[in-house]
Amino acid sequence: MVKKNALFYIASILAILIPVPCGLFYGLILAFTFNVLYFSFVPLNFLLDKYIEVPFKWAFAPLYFVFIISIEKILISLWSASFGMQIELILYVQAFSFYIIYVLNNVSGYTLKSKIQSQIPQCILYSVVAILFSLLRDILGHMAITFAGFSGLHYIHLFSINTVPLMNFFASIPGATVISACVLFVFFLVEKKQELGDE
Amino acid sequence: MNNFFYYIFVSSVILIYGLSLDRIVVNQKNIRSFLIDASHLCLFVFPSVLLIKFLLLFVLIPNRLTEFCPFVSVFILLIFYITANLFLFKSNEKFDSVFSISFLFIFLSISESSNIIDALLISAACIISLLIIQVLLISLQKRFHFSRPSDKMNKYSLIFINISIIMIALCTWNISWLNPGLIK
Repeated sequence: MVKKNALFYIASILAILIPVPCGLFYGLILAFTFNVLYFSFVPLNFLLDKYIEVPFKWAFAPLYFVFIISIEKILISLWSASFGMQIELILYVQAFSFYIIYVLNNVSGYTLKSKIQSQIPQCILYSVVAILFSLLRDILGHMAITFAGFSGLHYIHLFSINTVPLMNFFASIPGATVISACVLFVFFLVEKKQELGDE
Repeated sequence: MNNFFYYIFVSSVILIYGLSLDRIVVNQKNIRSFLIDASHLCLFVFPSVLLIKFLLLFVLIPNRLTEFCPFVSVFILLIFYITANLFLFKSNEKFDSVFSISFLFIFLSISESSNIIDALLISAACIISLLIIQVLLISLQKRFHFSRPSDKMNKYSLIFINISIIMIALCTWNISWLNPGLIK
């Protein structure tokens, strides 16, 4: 399933990641949130299906997403209030994105284990793309790797910012879109080569 | 009216804030179905924004309960959404793209406005911005179809490149990436 529609999935994930500020730390937060939403919502939905018969059961999903994001925002705000305000909207954009709704609507199986396992490849794909894309953007845009510490964000500088001029374009939102286009183009070429190899 | 044009062009809610950008990229619709979705968005967003902002200003803020604003937003939107689907459209409602876009627009309008008029203007700007970007991308898609790009070119890559060109055109006032001194 992943291989068949890989470009579709990757394009939708990259579209979610474009407005995210440049930094590996942001990618880690998004990957963590996605996994928390998936691995907590599927068992909860399973229990609801099994034990409770109520109309409008689908309405539980947006309420639950808002609950999880609110808790996460409060925890992040305890660490850094400005960072919490900065990332709040992005967390909502991710939780109410086409990709997560698509993944949750395609959960299949009869047992809890099979339900969780059915969409694990999508979770892995999301986490890997989010982390690698943020890392690539961080290296290109800031020439550094960004980590979180108790006193704020820490940068491990790989090169001087003046090594290659105008690279900080990639830290901006239009720059992220250009990187996304390049990443998709590379994936597309690899997929085509694989198809030719199979033939 | 500054806010209105700010959220349409200068800092487009679709391109810069990224609300529903993923849907525009991967889930392209024709103009007709998109206009139907836009009319549904208007139906859900405006009354919800009006009611939520009213509750926020006169109930939540005086009682220091602003942290509950997202819950109130999603709850009121659910009421409007389910009622409209039951009585107007007679359809089986579900957690779909119209609902999630409506929530994101409502959340942005409520959190970035200071009064009810501002909130309504921002929500109108969100819907118009979505309309403009979607129509622009549909027209670009048709252009690709006529010009027949090489097989080596991926459809999504072309869309992303076009989006980045539109973004750069809209953000030319913000040239921070041309000034490396800002990053030091």
